[in-house]
Amino acid sequence: MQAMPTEKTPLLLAPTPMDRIRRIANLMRGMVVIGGTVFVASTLFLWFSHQWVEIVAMRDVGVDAASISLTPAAQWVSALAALVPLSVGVFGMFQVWKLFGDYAQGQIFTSQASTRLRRLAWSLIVCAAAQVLARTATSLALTFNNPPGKKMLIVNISSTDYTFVLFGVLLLGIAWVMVEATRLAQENAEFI
Amino acid sequence: MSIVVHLDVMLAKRKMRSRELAEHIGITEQNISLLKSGKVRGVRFDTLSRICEVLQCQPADLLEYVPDDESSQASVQR
Repeated sequence: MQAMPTEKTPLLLAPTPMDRIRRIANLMRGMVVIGGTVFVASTLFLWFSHQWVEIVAMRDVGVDAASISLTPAAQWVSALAALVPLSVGVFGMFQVWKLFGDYAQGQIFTSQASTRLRRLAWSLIVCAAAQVLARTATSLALTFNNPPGKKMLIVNISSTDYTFVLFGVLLLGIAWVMVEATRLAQENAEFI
Repeated sequence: MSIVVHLDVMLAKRKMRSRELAEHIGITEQNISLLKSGKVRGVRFDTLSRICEVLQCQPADLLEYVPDDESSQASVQR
């Protein structure tokens, strides 16, 4: 004889796909808030630390520490240059935050969700280009006060930039597929 | 070409309200209203089958094909 569920032994229901979507959506929103805050704070902190500027100059820009003239003006220009890809990145993360907010409310196949996905895709692509430009501007800023013949203009394209573009184009493809999926979902909703 | 829905006639014959029908067949009352007014893109066979089962009728009692000429003439005569 089977035991009937009581108040102390509630009937356990298997999670529905919508429950899983809500859990992932809330997790993603939390990660975006934490990641975005750390990302912005660390970038701003970085450009006011002499030691970190030297590390970034060598690692990301391709300029060795002995070749740079780190003046306050150079630091400010480099920080402003870094703000460009940072702003694009924050915009992209905001789209993620809003997109998963829509998903958590069950608004999955909507034109708004497709639009946010497209914006996220373009922000990745633009961020990759902005990072290249920022590194170039940084190399110029850090070597601007060098003697003639020692100034540098470096164009540095890394595998990270390629990955950003790759994922941006991938998301763009998915976004256009979602536009079609949204149309089909709306058409299906008109059938009773 | 137009398909005319006579669901309101069948509901009246069976003395049933839209809400009752909606509860019996498991769709919303709003969808029943849309169906009655013909403002839907289509009806699934499953839904049609459940309506016929509850109202004890045939699909032909609910749906009528009216060619466009007849429907426009009928609207002019009115």
